[in-house]
Amino acid sequence: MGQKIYFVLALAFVVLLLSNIADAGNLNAQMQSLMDKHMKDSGEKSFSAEEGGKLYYIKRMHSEKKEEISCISCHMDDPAKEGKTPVGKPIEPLSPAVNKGRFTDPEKVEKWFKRNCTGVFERECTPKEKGDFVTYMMSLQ
Amino acid sequence: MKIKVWDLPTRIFHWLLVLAYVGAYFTSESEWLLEYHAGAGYIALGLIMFRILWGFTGNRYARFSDFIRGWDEVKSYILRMLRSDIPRFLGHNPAVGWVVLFMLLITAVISLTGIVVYGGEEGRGIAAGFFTFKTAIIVRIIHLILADIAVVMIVTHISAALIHHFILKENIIYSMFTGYKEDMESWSERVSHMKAGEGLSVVRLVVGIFVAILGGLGLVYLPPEGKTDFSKEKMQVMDDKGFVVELKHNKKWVDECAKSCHIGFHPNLLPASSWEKLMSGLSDHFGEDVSLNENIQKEILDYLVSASAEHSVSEASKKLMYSIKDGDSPIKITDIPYWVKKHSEISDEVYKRKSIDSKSNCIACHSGSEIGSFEDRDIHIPKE
Repeated sequence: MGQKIYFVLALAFVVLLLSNIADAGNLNAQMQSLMDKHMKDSGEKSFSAEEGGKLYYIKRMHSEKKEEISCISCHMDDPAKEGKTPVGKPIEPLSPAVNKGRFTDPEKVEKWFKRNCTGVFERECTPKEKGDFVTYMMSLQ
Repeated sequence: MKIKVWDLPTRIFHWLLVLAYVGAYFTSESEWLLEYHAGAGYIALGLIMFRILWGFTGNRYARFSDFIRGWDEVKSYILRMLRSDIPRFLGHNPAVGWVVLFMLLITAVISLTGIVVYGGEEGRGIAAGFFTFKTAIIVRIIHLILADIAVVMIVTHISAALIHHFILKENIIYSMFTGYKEDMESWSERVSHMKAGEGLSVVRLVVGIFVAILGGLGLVYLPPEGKTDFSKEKMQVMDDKGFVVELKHNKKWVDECAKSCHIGFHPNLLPASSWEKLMSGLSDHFGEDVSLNENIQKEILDYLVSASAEHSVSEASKKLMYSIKDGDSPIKITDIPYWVKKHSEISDEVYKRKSIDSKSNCIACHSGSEIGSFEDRDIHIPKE
């Protein structure tokens, strides 16, 4: 009787583990449909993690702030690290590898794309840029 | 032989006044104990009114005519005191008589100014509605200064009683309980072996008074640093009908304003007109585009306005409102004159410390900032 319980528990553990591995690096359904929409809007066949990485690290001169600015100004040169807002408040790591909650809520993702693209590039990001960026972040597993 | 000096009403008056002072002192720092503080003040005022009447109708030693003496007698007493040849009086001596009168009057004025502040700032008590908030702020300063003087006065009074008890061998402390003192003859017989001024020198007296004053100042200016548990504190707000009710943070406000780029700046830190201005300019929010969808923006604005500085019961809100010029709607809290003045002594180096980092990180020093509490006793400036 007792052995049976241990067996069930062990089985449950293995199933849980496998489902986690299968889940790693994959977007959930809501995020996937957002990505599909970006894919359609951009007219691309696939997104490029490499292009997304470039977008993350590229520095440019902001026309009003008169200083060099990039994603890494706040999110740090390693997305797995804790970032810092302009007023010094910590930002949870952006990388889904260390922060499971990232890139799970399309509304939140779109909100911050809009704000931060405007903040860094002084324009909204294109569907291709967003797709590449998310692909890059998801590849950091 | 014993002789009755202090009659029962005078003794009861004395000890009730002691209780009123102790009660008022220990409830003076906390907003939440303000009712008790005010209660102690009303009791003190009633006691003083009684004592003034008793000064005309009490027994011999309780009457003003016994202890309010002319300048000549006061001068001669002080001169003899300075020569360490202190004459004994059964009741109050000529010098202390005036001090007693001063103590009665200052207590009355402290109580009356307290009633004005309670009426003007809190809208409570018998003076509610008679005084404006602005009047109350000025009267409050008088109330505080007089209260400081009273603490020094009390410490000096106790020191003098101890000097009389231990050095002049006069049993004035017990007499305030029993009413009885030794008569002149048995006292002078008992202390006749003492030379004039034995055990007492002017230097000691001066040192005693000095220590008394320092002790009094110490009591006033070195209150223990508070360790309020803000997770248990409830927020309060005044609703549109003027009732104080519990405030709960709006969830959208928490998500958008307190959990994003900066700490949550409590609604009570700006007037409603400032929040309106700030919320209508989210596309350029201190250089960032933080636009929200219309519904969320409206919900947050409604929350901010409902708990703005005008609706706050906190001292900080009232004072910062008071400092903003009519018609001004500052959107940067650190631009408000009251904020600037209050933080003027903090050097730039402090803001650069690692755990503080910027002027907008209120919570680094005001641990209650996210629930809108900025009480002096909760301020703790990190050392690094």
